[in-house]
Amino acid sequence: MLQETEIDILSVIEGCKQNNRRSQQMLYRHFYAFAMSVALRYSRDEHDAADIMSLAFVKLFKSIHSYDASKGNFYSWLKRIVINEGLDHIKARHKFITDVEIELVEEPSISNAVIEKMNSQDVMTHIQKLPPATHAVFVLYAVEGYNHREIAEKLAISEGTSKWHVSEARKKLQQQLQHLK
Amino acid sequence: MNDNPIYEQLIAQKLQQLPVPDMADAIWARIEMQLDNDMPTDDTNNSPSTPPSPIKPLRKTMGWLTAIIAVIAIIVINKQRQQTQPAPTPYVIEQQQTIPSAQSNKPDNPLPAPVNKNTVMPGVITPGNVDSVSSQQNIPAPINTVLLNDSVNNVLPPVVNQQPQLIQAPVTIDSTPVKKRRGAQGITDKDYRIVPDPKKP
Repeated sequence: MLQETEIDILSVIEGCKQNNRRSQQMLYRHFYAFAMSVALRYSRDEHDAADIMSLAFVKLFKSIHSYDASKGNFYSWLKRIVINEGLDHIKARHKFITDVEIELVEEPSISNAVIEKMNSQDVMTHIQKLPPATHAVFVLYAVEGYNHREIAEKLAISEGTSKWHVSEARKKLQQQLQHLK
Repeated sequence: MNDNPIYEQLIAQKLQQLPVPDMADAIWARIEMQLDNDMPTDDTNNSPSTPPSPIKPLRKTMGWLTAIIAVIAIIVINKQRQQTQPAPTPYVIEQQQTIPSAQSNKPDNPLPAPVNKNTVMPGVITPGNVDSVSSQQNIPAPINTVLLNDSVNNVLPPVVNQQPQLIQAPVTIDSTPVKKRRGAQGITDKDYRIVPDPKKP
């Protein structure tokens, strides 16, 4: 079953490579939920996410001829495109601090129980309250699993700055969630 | 993978379960519009079924007509302007009257009109304004002579030197070299004549 779906996707991708509008729409609809959930993590609201989605898919269709199925999964390729578009979206509106050195990263404690009680939309709302750059770095680090060096390369900032953003995010989240205890 | 605290792992889990808003159609419409602009398909590019719009050539001719009308209008306006523009008024140069004598100092023969010190005055020069050259030669002042009369100012506009431009005749250079005169000048053959001295016997 899984193999069948993979084959179908590959044929749809082939159609997209030939600039077939129907294939493009099929591909978009197939990956919409997955791509939208990624876009939402880097956006302030749904409209922001819609902007990221439309730009990401246009980019994807323009560069789909460079996609090589043997080199990797289509999901990870699409995810990378959406994340990059999300970061570009944030960079276009907010300036990233490029070089901050912190000697000691404080580790604020947030109760696990508080997070467990919250639904995903509430968690997202708290993250969206963070400053845009801190929000982006925190999601890259805590959700996507990038390390500080990778984040530094992606955002053209220093590793120290990346650490500082994660620390800031933790502090601010702790402050926001304190009253929920 | 980073060694994140548990609460961060919980956050990550929650974010991956985010409900997706139903905006698929609206977003696709935007994507399709962008793709039609950037990557038009063969269907949208070559559609023989759609006849060529008659508005396009009409617009073209309208554009040309507008341009021609505009050019004609500019020419007509320019011509009209040239016609309506007053001809350059020649400077009225009042003839200065001769030095008023005692007899001529009658009420029906009023004083000469006040004249600007820079005014060009033909005719006789007033005694106070005579310059050395003109007084020696005793000839009427040329038309562009500047009379310095401090008592009257700003009556007539200053006249720019309006001497007619002299057209210079083409200079032809004689190619033959000028012959240098020989001998002392002013001595004629007469000077060399030998005349017998009558005193001598």
